Amino acid sequence: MTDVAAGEVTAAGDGAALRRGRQAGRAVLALAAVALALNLAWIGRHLDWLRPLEAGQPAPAFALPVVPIAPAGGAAAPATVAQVRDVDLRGKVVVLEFWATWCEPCLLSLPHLDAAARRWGDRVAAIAVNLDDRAAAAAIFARAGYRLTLAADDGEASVRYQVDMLPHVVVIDASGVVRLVGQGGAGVRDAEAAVGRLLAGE
Amino acid sequence: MTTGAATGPTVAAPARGPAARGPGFLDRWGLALVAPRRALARADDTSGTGRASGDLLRAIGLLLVVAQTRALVAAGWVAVEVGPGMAVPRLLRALSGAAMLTLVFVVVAALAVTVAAGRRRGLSADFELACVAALAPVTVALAATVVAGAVGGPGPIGRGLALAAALGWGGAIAALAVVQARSRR
Repeated sequence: MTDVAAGEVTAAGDGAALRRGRQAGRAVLALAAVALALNLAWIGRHLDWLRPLEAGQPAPAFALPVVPIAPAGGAAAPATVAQVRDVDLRGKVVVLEFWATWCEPCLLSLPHLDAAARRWGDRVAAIAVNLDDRAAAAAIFARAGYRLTLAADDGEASVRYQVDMLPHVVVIDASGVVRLVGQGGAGVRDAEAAVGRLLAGE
Repeated sequence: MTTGAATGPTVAAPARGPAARGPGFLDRWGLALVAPRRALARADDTSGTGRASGDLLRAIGLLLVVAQTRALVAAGWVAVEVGPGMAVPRLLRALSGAAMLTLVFVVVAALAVTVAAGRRRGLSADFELACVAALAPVTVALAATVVAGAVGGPGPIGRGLALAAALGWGGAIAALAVVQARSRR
């Protein structure tokens, strides 16, 4: 077989591979188009969820499942309520802290929020909304003895409250209006100050 | 005595089809997925230096637009209503969400290929090979975006499966990249 003939075989083989590659490339493009279409359809249905969440806006509604917490070494008692809803908390200041078990700053901020919640008493509903692992979150709360309400994200609340950095804290006044949106440790401290001002009637 | 034009070996007609036109970006992406050895050989060809890394950047850009559409729209809205300064961190987080895994993978893969290539190493060429391998995780991320969009969110198990598929597939192509690097003359 001459070099030319060998080259023809190589070219034919390369051509077949390139044809397969072209088909695969088109499949990738189709995949991208479907993904984009799904995202655009979601945006079309939920455009208001993407509006920047700022102080002064009505707080988005939420209905979050409450996670029961077992005392250390004991069995979990049933939660007194199955869900915590915004409509049931009208008349109270609400603090929502979105957090995850893998988030170190979140774990450092929870004791501060818990201590603040104990000072505030029944005037404030302090809710820690876990984003990743209910069981691990309940174990953390049981070990630490937090008295915060532990809730789990339902997939909607984190989107409607535009959680993209943790911890993510939102303070809602007694009439359901957002008063502060904060992130990180500084956000938690700002939230405590904001709640203090609301309780003082400012 | 005759001229070379009249006699001499018959030259094979130029190949028609994709081989003659030269593969475009999507063709090279598909080649990396279905014929990774050929894609790696092409990437290792110094005449196309920088093409694989350019392809990976384009792929990440496509993934950013497709997978982070909601975040981009939200960031744009923030830029208009609140101010561009507030939108920048959101844009950076969207970019990080789209690109972080791929960028970490390509750096680790490039180092692995360079170390394993021994005396035939060449960092730039090895990086090109790693860019070919990194197209697999990007493809998995695209597929995961479709699944998440269809079922309303992947959940921890879905995310774990996607990560395993991305690293497994990309790792397999990276292993072929090592073979390619060690076969250099």
